Amino acid sequence: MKKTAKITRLSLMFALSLLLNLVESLIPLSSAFPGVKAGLSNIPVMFLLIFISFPHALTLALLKGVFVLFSRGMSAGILSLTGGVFSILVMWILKTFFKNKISYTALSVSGAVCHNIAQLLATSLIWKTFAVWSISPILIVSGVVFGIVNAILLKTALPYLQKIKF
Amino acid sequence: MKLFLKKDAVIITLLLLVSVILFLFFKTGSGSTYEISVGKDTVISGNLIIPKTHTLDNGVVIECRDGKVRFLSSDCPDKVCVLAGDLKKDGDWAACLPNLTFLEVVKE
Repeated sequence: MKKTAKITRLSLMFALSLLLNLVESLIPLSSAFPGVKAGLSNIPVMFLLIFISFPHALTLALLKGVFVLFSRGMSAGILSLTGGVFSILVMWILKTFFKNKISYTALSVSGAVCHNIAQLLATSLIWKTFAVWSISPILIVSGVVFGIVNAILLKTALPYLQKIKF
Repeated sequence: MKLFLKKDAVIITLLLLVSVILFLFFKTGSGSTYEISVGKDTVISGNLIIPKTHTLDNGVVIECRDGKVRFLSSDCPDKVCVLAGDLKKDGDWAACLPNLTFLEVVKE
């Protein structure tokens, strides 16, 4: 695939991520469970990781993080970057190790849970407090739940995503 | 790559088990004081029993009332801090990240 086609595809995935971010903000999860997010914007990232390449996926994760940094400020930006990069690394290691013997669900759940744990770790280091870990149960459970949801959504969107050719 | 494999059920069960263990680990009784931190410094300490409203320099208002403490208002865009609601147990916390403000109930 030509270089411009690759860049265009990456841009399209980035736009998709931002749109999904908007969509998930319409679901009022934050009021019931603090810090819980649906993570829909990670579906394009997973697609790039599994079907394109790790560098592309990592670039998207970084793009998302920088976007959040500019739009929502330093604290949100740091969280997005740490969560995004750590979860991508973990998913990449798992995919490289297990190749095709791993499922979408396992990858997605691992990514989601690691995303949340990394963010919790960053928050506890910045505020130098252990107390934040009290919400770790909710974050793990929501990571599992939305990991499964995102895996299903990815599988459903796959035929459409794979049809994209430039 | 498949959507779901049998071993996924094992992984998920393990993770849920870990979350239950963490939940039991963090369950504690009622705290008695709260601390408000802005940035790295603990700015205000208060007793949950004494009703008081704190207006911070960064525009955040924290209210202690009825043995509970909460973010009453803030100028941040998301208002996650305000939505967090009442804090009363030891270890309960809420934070306003844009305003670098952290509120925590501590046993003293």
